[in-house]
Amino acid sequence: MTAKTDYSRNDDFFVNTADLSARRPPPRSKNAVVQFLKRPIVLVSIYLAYVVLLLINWDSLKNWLVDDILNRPAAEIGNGIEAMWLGFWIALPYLIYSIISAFAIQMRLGIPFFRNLDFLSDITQVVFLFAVVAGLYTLALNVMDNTQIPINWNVVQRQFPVEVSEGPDFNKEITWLKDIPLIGNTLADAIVLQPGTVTRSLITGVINTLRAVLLALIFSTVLGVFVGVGLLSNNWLVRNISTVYVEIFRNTPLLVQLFFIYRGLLGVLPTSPRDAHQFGDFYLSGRGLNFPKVLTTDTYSYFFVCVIAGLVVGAFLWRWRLKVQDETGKPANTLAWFSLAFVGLGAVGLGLAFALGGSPFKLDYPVLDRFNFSGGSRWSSGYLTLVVGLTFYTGAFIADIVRAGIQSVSYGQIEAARAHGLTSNQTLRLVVLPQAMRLIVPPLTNQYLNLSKNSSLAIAIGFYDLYNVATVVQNQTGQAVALFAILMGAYLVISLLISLLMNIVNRSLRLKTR
Amino acid sequence: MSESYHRPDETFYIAPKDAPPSRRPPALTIGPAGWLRKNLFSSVGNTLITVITVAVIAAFFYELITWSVAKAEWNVVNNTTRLMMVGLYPVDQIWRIELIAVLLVFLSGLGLGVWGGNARGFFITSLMIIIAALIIPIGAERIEAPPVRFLITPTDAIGPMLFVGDQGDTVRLAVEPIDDNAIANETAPFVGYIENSPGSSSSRALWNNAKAQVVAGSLDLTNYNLQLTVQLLDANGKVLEEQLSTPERRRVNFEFELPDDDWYYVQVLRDETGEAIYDTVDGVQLPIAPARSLPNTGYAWVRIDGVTTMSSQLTDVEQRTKKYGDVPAVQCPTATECRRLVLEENVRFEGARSFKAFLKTQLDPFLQEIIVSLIVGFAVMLTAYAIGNFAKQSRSPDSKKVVSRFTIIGWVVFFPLSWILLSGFEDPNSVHPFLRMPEVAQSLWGGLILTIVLTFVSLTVAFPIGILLALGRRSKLPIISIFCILFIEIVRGVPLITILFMAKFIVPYFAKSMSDTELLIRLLVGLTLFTAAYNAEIIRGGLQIIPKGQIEASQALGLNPFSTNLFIVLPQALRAVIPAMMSQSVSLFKDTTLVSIVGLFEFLGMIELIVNGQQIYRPYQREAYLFVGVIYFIISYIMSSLSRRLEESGAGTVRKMRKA
Amino acid sequence: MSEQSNSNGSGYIIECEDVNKWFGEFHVLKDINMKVKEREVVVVIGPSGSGKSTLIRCINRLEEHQEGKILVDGIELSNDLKNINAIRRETGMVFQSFNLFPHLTVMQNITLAQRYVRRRPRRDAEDMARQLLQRVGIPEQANKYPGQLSGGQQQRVAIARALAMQPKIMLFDEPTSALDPEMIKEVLDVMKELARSGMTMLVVTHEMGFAREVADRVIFMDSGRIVEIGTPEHFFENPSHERTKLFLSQIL
Repeated sequence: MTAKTDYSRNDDFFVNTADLSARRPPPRSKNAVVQFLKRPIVLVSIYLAYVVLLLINWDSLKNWLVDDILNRPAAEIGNGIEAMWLGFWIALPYLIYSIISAFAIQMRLGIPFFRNLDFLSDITQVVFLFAVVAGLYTLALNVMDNTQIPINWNVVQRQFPVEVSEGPDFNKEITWLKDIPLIGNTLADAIVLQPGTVTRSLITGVINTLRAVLLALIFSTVLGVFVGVGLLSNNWLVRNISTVYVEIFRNTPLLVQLFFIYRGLLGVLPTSPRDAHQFGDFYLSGRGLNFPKVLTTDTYSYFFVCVIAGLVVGAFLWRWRLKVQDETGKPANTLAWFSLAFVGLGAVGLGLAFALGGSPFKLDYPVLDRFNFSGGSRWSSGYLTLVVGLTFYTGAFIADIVRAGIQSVSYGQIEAARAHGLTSNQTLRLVVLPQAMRLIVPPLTNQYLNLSKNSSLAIAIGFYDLYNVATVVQNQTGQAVALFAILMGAYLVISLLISLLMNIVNRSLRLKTR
Repeated sequence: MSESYHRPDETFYIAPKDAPPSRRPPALTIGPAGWLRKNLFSSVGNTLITVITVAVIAAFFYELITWSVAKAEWNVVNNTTRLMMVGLYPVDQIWRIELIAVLLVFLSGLGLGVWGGNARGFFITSLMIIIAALIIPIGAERIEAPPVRFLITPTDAIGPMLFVGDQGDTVRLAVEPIDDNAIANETAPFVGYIENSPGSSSSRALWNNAKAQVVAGSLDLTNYNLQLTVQLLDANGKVLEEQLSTPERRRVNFEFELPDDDWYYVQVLRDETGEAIYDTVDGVQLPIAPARSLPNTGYAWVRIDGVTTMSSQLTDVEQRTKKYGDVPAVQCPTATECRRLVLEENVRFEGARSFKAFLKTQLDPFLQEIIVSLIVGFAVMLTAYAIGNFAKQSRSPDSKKVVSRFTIIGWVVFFPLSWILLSGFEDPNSVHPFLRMPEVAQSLWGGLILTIVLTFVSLTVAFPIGILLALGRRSKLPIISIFCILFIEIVRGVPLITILFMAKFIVPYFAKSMSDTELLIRLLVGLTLFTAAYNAEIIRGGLQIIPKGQIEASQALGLNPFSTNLFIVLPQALRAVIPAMMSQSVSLFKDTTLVSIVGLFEFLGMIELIVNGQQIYRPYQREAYLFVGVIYFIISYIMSSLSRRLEESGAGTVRKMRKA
Repeated sequence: MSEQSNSNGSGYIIECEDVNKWFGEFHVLKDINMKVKEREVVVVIGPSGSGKSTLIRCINRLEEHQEGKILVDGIELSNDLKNINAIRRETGMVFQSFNLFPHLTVMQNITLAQRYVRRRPRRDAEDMARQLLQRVGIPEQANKYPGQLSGGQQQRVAIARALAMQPKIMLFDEPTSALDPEMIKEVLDVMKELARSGMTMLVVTHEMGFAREVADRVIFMDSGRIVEIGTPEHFFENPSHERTKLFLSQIL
């Protein structure tokens, strides 16, 4: 402190003798009240309280201007004025705040408000806020005015028959560990009318979307990884075929592919189940694929418990082997130990089930009736098309991502690993893949998101996914606004879920750097 | 002595004075053999993979080629080219689209000539030529209808077959007796174009039936005694001309001249004097004996040339109805019924076709479709390129400046001009007679040209919006950035089809004045906002790679934020994202197909209309969608390889500019 | 000239009084008090992370300080738009990584701000640019892009670009740190010439030779505070503070 005083006497030379330790940054204002008010949480709560108050009193406030003063102007002009009025009230606190602080600064520091950067930013935001609120609210009011059928947000509770050709069979009771199809589906097979609430139809749509998306997601990943590796194969033929596949499927619209599969491949098959192409117990016809479904029996629970036990024991063995490797340096062979436990206990379970009453599974074969198949499981041609189309389309993108990821690992890394004596398998597993995965996961997430969004093209091929169902309901009820809000919400939720899962994966892979 | 130094176990070594001559590598490591070894047979597993792959590819291509040459019916493409390219755009106004295409090609050629690099030019040139070839449908109307064939049996003849004709057209019919049992084992008669008419069952089925009988020995084709009456009827069912065939075994030709522009029928009747006696043997109905004095036995082909049947060029029905009036209802209960009869009694041609026949009936019509456009496109392109290149290489710098300025102005003018050309004027009389173009309703726009309009318009409009959104998202002002983030993320989080449906169903409610907005405009708004959100993310990526120092340097020089963005940040950021924007354009180009779901007939929508809306083309879905796929593939492949080249060459990235 | 433009008449063109700055919770500048006279060359040295760069970036408001007062040519730095613009016009800045605009030619780099900030006619701006390129010794590079120049040339262009705005003060933020050794000299020569011409300069550098030769005063900073200010002779020959001695013993 003394040194500072010395220096202020316009000394040009100076030696700092004070011991200046770091301080916390100063509060923005000296006044305790202002300081409290300026905390973001306080500001936001005050503002929210204000908005709530505003909305509660909105009717009287609105009527005061629109009815009393302006005497009810014509519809859309009235909406515009009402929206601007709301915009004004919403932006008002911020406006007042910015004026007060600009005024304070002008008093304190003499910066005129029109040159005060803070004030200029504030006022820009005020104007923007006003414009956005006014614009969006005008549109909202107009939509409410112009729709012939008033918007009814309770549309989902309406009883409404929506004809959905496939979906979960709500009438069927599923008991735990029994009658669960392990392979196949519990879906209602024939075209059924599902009278029920709109909610039920939408749930059917969600389930249909999810089962198509999940299956396509798994298949496309597998296909993409294979082709991606093929793109880097040292076999010229494999490399080029993979390239051709990727280029063809990436550069053609998905919709064209879906139409080709649906109409060009499945559509030309005989529609009558009697003429279906038969491959063993699989029947492929223009209506779809019928195949045996695997059901569980009473003894399944024994098997199930053993398999779970196998998983748990396997996991323990896995960790134990890792520990052994850490301590003794012996090879871990985790996978081998894990499979040993899993398969072993699985076999025990199977044996137990047979000993106590027969096979834990039973097969339900599709049987040709007079007109249709009964029993078994059916993938409708729409579902088949959607899954196959999404798989091939997304697979092409994933292949390229996998290729790029692996290629991004510099050759020096591989050489270094080989130079240290790692086998090519170990190099791939321990050096290349961990690095490649970090580059693969983010674009892969994008592809998964695209896949889930692209599933909405089901509407073009008559598969009742969420989107198609919503469109049907919309056509029947005329509730376009409500249904599209629900639809957008649902897709956003699906997108967010996928993002969330993939972010967790991504975080676990992230390179720890400084 | 020196020999010993070459021994490896020596501790010391001095190389001989003369270095040994270079040797060739082992024979199996170089040349074609080496290549094969390295690339296909490097290990046992590799060899196995190679063999399997070769087998699979061979099988696949064998199937594909036999199918597309011998079986596929490409006339679904050949007959509908115009519809696919320009939709229902009035035929007499198509010159406007042709003009746009020529302008497009000309401006591209000019631009390539003035600025273009050589390698890039190849891609763009081919792109433009193909687009031009497809858009300029000059050859569209010149295709002659392929001959129509019917099988006439003792039991089946041809009911009225509807066709349209212009005054003076000549219709030729030929009755070709089938009197050789050997023919029955060939599929040759089916080379060509098979159709069936109402009143008869399918020719194909009949023929198969007959063949089966020949093989079984229950039918003798050499026993020919079929007497036919060939009639030409006008739209009202009045017999205009009538000719009789003789029951002799020789080809008989008929010729009719059409008196007027109108609908006509052709009808072939068996001579009723000779009616066969039928019996059912093994479930097959057979004419076992000639009945009366004139035994009516035998099979014949009736081949009709020079007519455009309703079913062979069905997609023009609307146009023809305009020109010739409604489809006549003669001899059918109702017009609809008649039409249904005409349309629905068709079978798919299933016989194998010879390669020669493929060339003649499938490929040749297609080449005829595009050859004129191709030549015109090439000519315009080359001329423009020559002009541009000449200006580029000329000594006076002014000429380059003039041409490049002209090109830029040309592109700027091109888009609004194309729009005006496409839509015309609401009141053509109010403008200069030279520009008197009648309005073409947007509902008539369709086909590939609509796809291109959708792509170009939404790309150009989305570009500035994308920039604003990207800048807004990075803004320090929280309200603006939150708004931009919300907009971008919501749009990116939902499927495009939702946005298009919104645009279709909810936008009209936004204001009363919007309720009668053309669907095209509404969907364009949806597509544009969608693209803008994606563009914004790409541009944000570009903004992020601009070093902070650039902005600081600009601030230190006193440039305000607006100038900093305009002069420093955006030019660099946009250059860096050119490849990404290109792939986004490819994606948009593919996504335009979705408007077909909400009721615009762009390229895919038009094909759907053709193959699903028109019964005659319904069996040819594979051909149609393959063709569409190939066209989409060609265009987007060119676009994406362009973007890849840009990315690889590093053109447009800051990195390249940094390199010394 | 200096007395007229200097509103408070103190003869100092840069004045920092009790300047404090934090990055979040991190205290980067601690009670900085420093004054620079007109036509004076002041070199700021110190170990990395000592806040040297932050200090000079505060002086043309690339960074905002939270406490204290900075006066440049009598204008106080605050959120006043007019003052910020005025100060940016008074000060030129040269960066460690040159920060030339890679998409513009050398000529465009130098004329851009003249035309859009100073609103000079294009011809005048180009004349000025040519003169300055002559002055920094690379008149022939006007139409090249920065990427085509060597580091030393780029830095000289950056100096010319800053000078084109005719600033009263030049701020140098480690102008030679990113350069190959043989290029350092050509940049230092330009800076020396600039110093001789009477430009007020505040230079952050590790070039001790330059400091010794050109500087009127040397400021030594460590962990956010000014440790010692002195003449080069005094500073290098006979430093007062222990920290300074330690620093000099490590680098010399």
